[in-house]
Amino acid sequence: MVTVPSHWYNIAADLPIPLPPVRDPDTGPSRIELLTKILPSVLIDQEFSGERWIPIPDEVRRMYEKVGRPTPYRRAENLERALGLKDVHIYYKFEGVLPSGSHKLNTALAQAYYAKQDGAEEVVTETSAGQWGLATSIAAALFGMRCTIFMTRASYRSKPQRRILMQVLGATVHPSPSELTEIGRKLLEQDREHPGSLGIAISEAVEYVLKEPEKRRYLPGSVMEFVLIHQTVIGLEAIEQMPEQPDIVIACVGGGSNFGGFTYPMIGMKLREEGFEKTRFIAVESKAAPKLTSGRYMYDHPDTSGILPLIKMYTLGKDFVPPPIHAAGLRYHGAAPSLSILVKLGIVEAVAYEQEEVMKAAQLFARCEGIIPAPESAHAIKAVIDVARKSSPGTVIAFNLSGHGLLDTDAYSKVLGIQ
Amino acid sequence: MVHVPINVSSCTKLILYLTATYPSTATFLNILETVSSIVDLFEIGVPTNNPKYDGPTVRMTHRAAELKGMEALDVLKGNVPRDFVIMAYMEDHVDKLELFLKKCAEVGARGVLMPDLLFDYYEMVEKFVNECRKFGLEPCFFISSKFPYREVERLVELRPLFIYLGLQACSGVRLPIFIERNVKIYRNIIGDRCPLIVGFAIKSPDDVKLLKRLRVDGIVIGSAFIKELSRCGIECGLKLLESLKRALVE
Ligand SMILES: Cc1ncc(COP(=O)(O)O)c(C=O)c1O
Repeated sequence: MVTVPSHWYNIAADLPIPLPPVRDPDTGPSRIELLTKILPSVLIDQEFSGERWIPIPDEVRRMYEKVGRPTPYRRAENLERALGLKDVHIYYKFEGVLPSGSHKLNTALAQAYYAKQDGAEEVVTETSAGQWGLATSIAAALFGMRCTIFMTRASYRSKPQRRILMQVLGATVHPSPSELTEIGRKLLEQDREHPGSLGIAISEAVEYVLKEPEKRRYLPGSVMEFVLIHQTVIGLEAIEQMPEQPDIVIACVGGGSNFGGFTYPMIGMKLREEGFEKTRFIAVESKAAPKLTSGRYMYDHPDTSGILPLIKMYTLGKDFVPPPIHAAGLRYHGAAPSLSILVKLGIVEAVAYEQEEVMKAAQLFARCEGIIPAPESAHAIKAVIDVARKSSPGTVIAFNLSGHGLLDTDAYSKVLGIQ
Repeated sequence: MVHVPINVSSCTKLILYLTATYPSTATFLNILETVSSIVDLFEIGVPTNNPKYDGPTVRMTHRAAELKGMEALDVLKGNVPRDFVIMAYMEDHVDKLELFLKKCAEVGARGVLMPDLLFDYYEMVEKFVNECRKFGLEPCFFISSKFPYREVERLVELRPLFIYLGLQACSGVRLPIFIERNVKIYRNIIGDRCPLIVGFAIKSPDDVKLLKRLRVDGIVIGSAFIKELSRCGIECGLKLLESLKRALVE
């Protein structure tokens, strides 16, 4: 029987080339110095840790069990049949069984735990579709903390369900850009109906934390290396659960956390020559935010207003506002530094898809496997279907189904024309 | 010139980082003289307009230095009373690396440290080592606190003067990083095959004692000294170094 892992995995120890350091921009105060006022202290430590295996605190492990970890790893036999595949096996890790409906809870629990350890009373964050906001709200509720969420305005309007659930859990949710922060007010002046973006919502959350840094802590939903580290419980469990080693491993990318969480334990073994030697790894992004396939590898801010230090990553530029798509969790301008390096070195391949083809793949998966995928996760499914069709007999494919789409009826209804 | 061996031993060396010609050429030379009896090795930065991986204090010295680039290097010739290594960013010298290293050798440097070499010019490591050796310079390597283990092994094989582990995200800024764990990891990997020196935000005798216990071969003082200098001059800087030295030899 697979159990919750005792350690998280930190791929920095095994990368073929080192991760470039974070950097301050040329002007203004040191953003690096500011981190101590923004993030829980242990998270800063984990961001700069050289430890390959980071122990999971007992209380976090217990929480993982409480919310339903380990999550299932299943074979998609009906999908294989529907695609007419001959001896090509498809497996998926299903993070949608968590009470948050997505993988985001894996890091939210750890982060809220460390924020509380610091003596913080309130956790603050951004969200778009609401997956991260919902996960943070659950974690805050479980640890007895207040929770404030800046939700991109486009999603605040189009996705009331998750917002309402966050409020049920006790969180305060503001549409972003909001009147609460300087950057929010500035953007609203330009456009009262500004749709917002994850970059802007991050900036607002950080600015809000800095108003009362003794009581508040900012929890990032992706991109930072410690977020990917926490998510490695997904891949570590999966490795234990796999009846056969996959030839191709696939996950979608917003900032890279479910991708890194699922694949890094396997990529790490490949880099250490302990397994997965022939396995290909494919990152799937949205054509609406194609940083890995069309972005530049350079230093950029993770947030729009540049309060956070520069990190080296594939980016479309911090001011890039992606078109409003239904997979809102993929509407982000950059990708985690470690993932960016792996793509640059060709260890991870990247592909991008349009929303329509993705939602059709999601529908096919739903009709075969009985699970409605989140629009973000559906990007991985589209790639799985494309790759499976081209695969020779004997091929094994594994992907991460990062979340369910039970609250994404608007996406299914609009894109597939279901009334 | 006084020559103190940099090696793996029970004796942790005191290394002082200075930016050449900061705050002025005259004061810089005066500092070298004043502190030379306590300092085992100098690390001297070539003033640049883009000190990209440095923290606010060291950045300020680059901007305020009297001379820039090669001109600042000229000042060193015959004027550094101790062994010294030169710190410069590869980005500034990548197009004329040979010329730059030749100059470093001419002014009497023992080694060269390029903090961005392993992050932004990874493919140039071998070339850097070969060029250094050609001019009789010893290559030095800067690594971060989350450096790939196997790559550290590779650096050790290249027989550098030392490997410099940055304890913090950048120079002079202290974050809540568990440096004890990180130092142990890299000391373990390196063993006694190569000197390991550490730096970034070291400022108190307690810091020094902890690092000595962790068996590092050298500690680099930079921002803390510069801050003392700005606060009340060379005398204060000297006092700081004396207190750190006492903690080292205790
Ligand atoms: C279900 C789901 N999958 C994937 C993502 C993309 O984020 P990441 O790349 O960090 O996994 C999100 C983001 O909100 C999400 O909600």
